[in-house]
Amino acid sequence: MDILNLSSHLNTYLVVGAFLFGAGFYGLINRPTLIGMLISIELVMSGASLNFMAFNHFLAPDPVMGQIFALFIMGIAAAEAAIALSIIMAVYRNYKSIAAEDLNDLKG
Amino acid sequence: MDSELIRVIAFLVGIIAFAALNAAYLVWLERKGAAHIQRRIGPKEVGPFGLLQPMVDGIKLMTKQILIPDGVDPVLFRLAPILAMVPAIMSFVTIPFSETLVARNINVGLLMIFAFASVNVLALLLGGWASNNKYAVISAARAVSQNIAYEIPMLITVITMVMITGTLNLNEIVAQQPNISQWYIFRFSASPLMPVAFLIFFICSLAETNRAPFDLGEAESELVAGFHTEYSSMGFGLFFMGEYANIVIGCSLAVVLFLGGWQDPFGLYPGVWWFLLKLYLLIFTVIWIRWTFPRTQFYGLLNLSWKILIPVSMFNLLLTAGFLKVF
Amino acid sequence: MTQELLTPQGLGGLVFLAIGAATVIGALIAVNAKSLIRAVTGLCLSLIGVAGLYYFLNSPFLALMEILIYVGAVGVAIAFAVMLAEPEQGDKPGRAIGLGPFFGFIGGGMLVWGLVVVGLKTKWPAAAVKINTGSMLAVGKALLGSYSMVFELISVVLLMAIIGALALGRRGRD
Repeated sequence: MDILNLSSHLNTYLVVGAFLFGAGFYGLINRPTLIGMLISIELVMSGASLNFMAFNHFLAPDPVMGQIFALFIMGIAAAEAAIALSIIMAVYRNYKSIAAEDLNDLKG
Repeated sequence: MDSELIRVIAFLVGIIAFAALNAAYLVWLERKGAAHIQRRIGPKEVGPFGLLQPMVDGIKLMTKQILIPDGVDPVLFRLAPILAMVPAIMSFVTIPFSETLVARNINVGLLMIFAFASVNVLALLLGGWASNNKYAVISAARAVSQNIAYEIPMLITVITMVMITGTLNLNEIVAQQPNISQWYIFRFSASPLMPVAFLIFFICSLAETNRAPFDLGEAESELVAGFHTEYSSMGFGLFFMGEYANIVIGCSLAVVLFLGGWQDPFGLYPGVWWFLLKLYLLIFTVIWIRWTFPRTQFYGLLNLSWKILIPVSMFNLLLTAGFLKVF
Repeated sequence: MTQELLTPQGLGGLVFLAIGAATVIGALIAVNAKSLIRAVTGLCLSLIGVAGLYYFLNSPFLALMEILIYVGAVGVAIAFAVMLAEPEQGDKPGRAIGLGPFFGFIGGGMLVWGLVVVGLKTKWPAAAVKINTGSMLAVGKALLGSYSMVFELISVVLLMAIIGALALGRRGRD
C-alpha cells in the first residue's frame, strides 16, 4: 500500500466522497438550526460532485462531461444557497429564531 | 536535489521578499505622497528622505504586545489575518514580471488571481466577526457587501478581455501586445470603449482592496479602525501587508491586461524594468487618488457599482462581442 | 524513503495527503462545531480541500471555479446569514443528549460503509480511449456546442434564484 501514490487510484476519491456524503448526512440529522442543515447539504453535494469528477478522470471516454456536470452542480448549489438563505432570513424575521424546533405553527 | 525544486524555492523567497519590501516601501511612498499633496514634508528624520522610516516602523510593530481581547473566538481571531495574507502572496505566482521571470506560467492564471481574491472577502468577514466588537461587525458587513458588489463589474470586464485575448495565460496576454498601438487599452478595433473598460477595472480593483475613496470598511473617522480594530502588532501587520499586496496584484493585473506588461512601447528593449515602471506609475496613481477624493456615503458607493458600473460593463461586453464578430 | 520523498512525485503525494486530510477535517468541523461560524469555516476548509482534489483529478479550471464560487460566494453568503441571524452562539441549553446523535452516527456510518464497499468491490470497466483532452478549451467548446442546453438551463435556474431572493427580501420593507 503505497501512501505517496494515493492520488492515482480511483478508490481514494470514492472513499473521500463517501465520507463527505456521510458527514453531511450526520450533520443534517444532528444540527438544530436551519443554517446548520444548509451547511450539511453543501457537504452532501460536494461528496456527490467529487464522485462525478473521480469517475470522469479515471473511467469516462469524454472527460468533458464530468466537468460540465460538476459545474452544473456548483451552479445549482449556489442558487439553492441563495434561496435557502433568503427563506431563512424571512423566517428569522417572523419567528426570531432559526432552530427547526421553534417553527411549529402548523403543528397539532 | 532537483533543479526544479531549487527554482521553486528561489521564486518563493523572491516573491515573499518582493511582497514584504513593497508593503514596507509603499507605506513610505504613501506618507511622502500624502505629505506633498497636503503641502507638508512627511517623514524626513530617519535616514535620507526618511527612507529608513519603514524599517523602524516594522521594528516597532514587531515589538508591540499582541493583545488578544477577552471574548473573542480564539481560533478565528488568529486565522483571519493569515487568511487575508496568504491568497495575496499566492497570486504573485502567476504574474509575469518579464518573459522568463514567472514563477509558474499557469494556463488558468487569470482565474487563479480572482479565485484567491474572493477568499479575501471571507477573511474580512471572519476577522470582523471574531473580534466580538460591534464596530468591527458593522464594518465587516459593509466591507463584504462592497467587495461583492464590485467583484461583478470587474469579472465582466475581465470576461470582455478574455474574449479578445482568447487565453487565460498571463504571459501570452502580454506577448500579444508588442508595441504601444497594440496595447489593449488602445485596441479600438476590439471595442471603442477600451479605455472605459480600463477605468472600470481600475475603479473596481480600488474597491476590491478597500482602498480610498472606497475605504468605508476602515473609515478612520467613523468606525475607529473598522474590522481590524481589535488587532494589534503582527495581526494588524498581516492585514496591512495583505492590503498592500492586494494593491500590487490589482495594479499588476491592470498593467498586464491593458498596458502591455513587460513590453516596450516601441518594441525594442522589453524587460522587467518596463513592468516595474508601469506598475509603480499605477500604484502612485492609487495613492494620489486616495488623498484627493473625499469618501462617499455608503449608498453612493453601492449605487456606483450596481447602477452605473454593471450596466456600462455589460454594454461594453455586448459591444465587444459585436465588434469581434463583425470585424 | 527520504530519497523518494524529495522527488516531485513524492512531494506531490505528500501534498495530496495534506489536502485529503484538510477535506476530512473540515467536514468534521462543519458538522460538529458548537458555534455556527466555526462550522462555516470548517465547510470552507473542506471545500478548499475538494478544490485541491479536483486539481489532482486533472482539471485546474474546475478547482479554481470551486474556490471562486463555493468559498468566495456561497461561504461568504452563509457566514453573512449567520452574522445576521444568530446573535447568540452555541446550542440551545437543556437539549438532552438524546438518541438523535447516536442514530445519526449509525445512519451516516452505514451509508459511508455501504458506499465504500460498493466502490471498492466493483470492477469498474475502464474506457479504452479518451475522445478529447478534457482541457478548458474542450469544456468551453462543449458548453457552447453539444451541451449548450445545460448552459441555458443553468442560466435560467440562476435567474430564477436571483428573482426569488429579491422577492423574498423585499417583503420586509412594506
